[in-house]
Amino acid sequence: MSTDVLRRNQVRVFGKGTQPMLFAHGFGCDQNMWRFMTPAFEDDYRIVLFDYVGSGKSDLSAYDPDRYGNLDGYAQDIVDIVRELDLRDVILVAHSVSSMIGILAAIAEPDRFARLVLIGPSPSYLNDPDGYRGGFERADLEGLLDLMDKNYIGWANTLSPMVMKNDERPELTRELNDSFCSTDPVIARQFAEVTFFSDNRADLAKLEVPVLVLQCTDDALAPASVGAFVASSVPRAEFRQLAATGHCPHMSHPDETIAVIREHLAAVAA
Amino acid sequence: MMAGATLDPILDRAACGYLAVDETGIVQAVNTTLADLVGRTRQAIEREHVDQLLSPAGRIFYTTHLFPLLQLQGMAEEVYLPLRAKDGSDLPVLVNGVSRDTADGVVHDLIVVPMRQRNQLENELIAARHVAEQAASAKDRFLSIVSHELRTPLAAARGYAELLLRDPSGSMSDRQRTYVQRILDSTIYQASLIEDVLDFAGQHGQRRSLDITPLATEEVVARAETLLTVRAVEEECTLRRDPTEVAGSVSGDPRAIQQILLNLGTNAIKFSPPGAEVLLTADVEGDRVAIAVADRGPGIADDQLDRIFEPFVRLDGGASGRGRGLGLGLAISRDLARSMGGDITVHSVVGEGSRFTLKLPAAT
Repeated sequence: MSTDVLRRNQVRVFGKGTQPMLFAHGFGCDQNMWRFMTPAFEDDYRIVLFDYVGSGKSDLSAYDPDRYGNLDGYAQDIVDIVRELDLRDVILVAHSVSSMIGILAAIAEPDRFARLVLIGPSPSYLNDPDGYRGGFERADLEGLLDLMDKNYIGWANTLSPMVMKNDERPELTRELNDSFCSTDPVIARQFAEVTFFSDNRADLAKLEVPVLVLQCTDDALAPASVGAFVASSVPRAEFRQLAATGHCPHMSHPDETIAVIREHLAAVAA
Repeated sequence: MMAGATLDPILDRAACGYLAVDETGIVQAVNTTLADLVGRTRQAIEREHVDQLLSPAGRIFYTTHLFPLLQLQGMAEEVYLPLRAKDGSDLPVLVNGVSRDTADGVVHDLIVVPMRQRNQLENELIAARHVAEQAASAKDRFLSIVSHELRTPLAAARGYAELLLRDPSGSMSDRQRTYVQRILDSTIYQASLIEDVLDFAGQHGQRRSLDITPLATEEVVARAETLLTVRAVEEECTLRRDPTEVAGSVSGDPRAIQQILLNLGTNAIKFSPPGAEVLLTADVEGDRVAIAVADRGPGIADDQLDRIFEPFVRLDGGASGRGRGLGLGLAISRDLARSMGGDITVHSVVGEGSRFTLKLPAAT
């Protein structure tokens, strides 16, 4: 395994602190989604960023449809990284589907994680006849897969030329990155399937590591009731409602997101 | 721009929808064209969340792909999204967007073009592609299974023919010996055809792993020359190398390169008239190495040139009528060349001959 894991997952380590803060991106993005957040923590923590295999600049040849056919395969990426870097006392900041991936990783390696910060978690996106409201019907999610297929037609091709065009338009080069979202379309589709058809509700109770749940206002993907479900199912959880709207507060409202995480970390340290 | 502001009349009635959304997903402006498309009024859309305009799948995609692209990269192009009209029907659209800094934060300006008919066509294309992919993989599986089944009895036939030929008691007549030798030759030839099929099905089913390394071009060409010279002698042709030495290195899998050159060379020899010369050349062309095999055979008509790389396409006999085989060699060779980052090109003139060129990346 050795350095292969670090290359495979495009792992980047920086920051002046000692306690590791590991950031796990969500479906559709890569580690660049954390760029508004990390500057606030790099003086006090050791920041670790990575791309899941199949996302961003990871080694696409390492993609194995069987391994990544369920969230455990993605959790294994996190486990591989914390083992490879021998990280202890890790604060894992996880967005969206990474919340469940992070929980699976922390169940597998509880001794390495100090706490999990989950942004917009959902253990299951499907509405269940038992009364659980994930927010989506099966037909909605199948519609998403069709939509992914549709965007295949130009997805991989339109992204790289876009960057070149931006070079000619300096006003748009703000936060430009040539790999952002440039995932392999076939892999992205399988990731969508795994993300939106997984049901990890039963895993929540197995988590020993303490958790901070950040719930956005009007989140199209993870309704407030879902965040509350996570917080009440995980044994050691704190629930924080953000004023931020949407599903990506670390991109749309980084200031509030940073403040709430800092406050929480300060409180538990005291 | 604040919600409810008056839009320029040209923009308001433009032949495409226009939508401005802030970072929190609230619609800051919409034109009448888009409002009409979704069966609402501008007033009912502005200051509301963009989610109300999207199908559930569209909401997920907007949140996980389009929004991050606009937020981090500043623009997005040709994103397909299903809008949701007021009557509950889905309206397929293509979206281009750019982001813009304003005093109140970032605003994403989106241009929305309905694509009902194209959407229908794309659905058909995608469905057709799925069907074709399934058919192709079923075919490869079939080939693979059948070939494996054929290989076993053939190995037995070959083994017994070899045993017979040993004839320790010396009881076989010359005629019997000739016949057994023909049986043996045929089984060997048939085994090579089966290997081709397996190779082809294997490449398409599970990709054969290539070991790409830098190789001295001279060694590669010299090895091919040695192997091909034997065949040329058998078929009464002459194999000539020009130039006789080549410098530099090529990047590729040694086994795959030999397989390709052997295939191109064997074809050239097969289609050459007796006594003709087959020319083997190697040159450096910029960052590529070109190894070519040229023959003085019958040549290939222009309308056939595109087809010869397709699997199971065979050309007529050649001068000696030896055009037997399954027509897989070139298909396999080109697949191999491409998976090494190279390609095979062909130049041919009817009545004068053909030149097949394997181009591979030069090793740095």
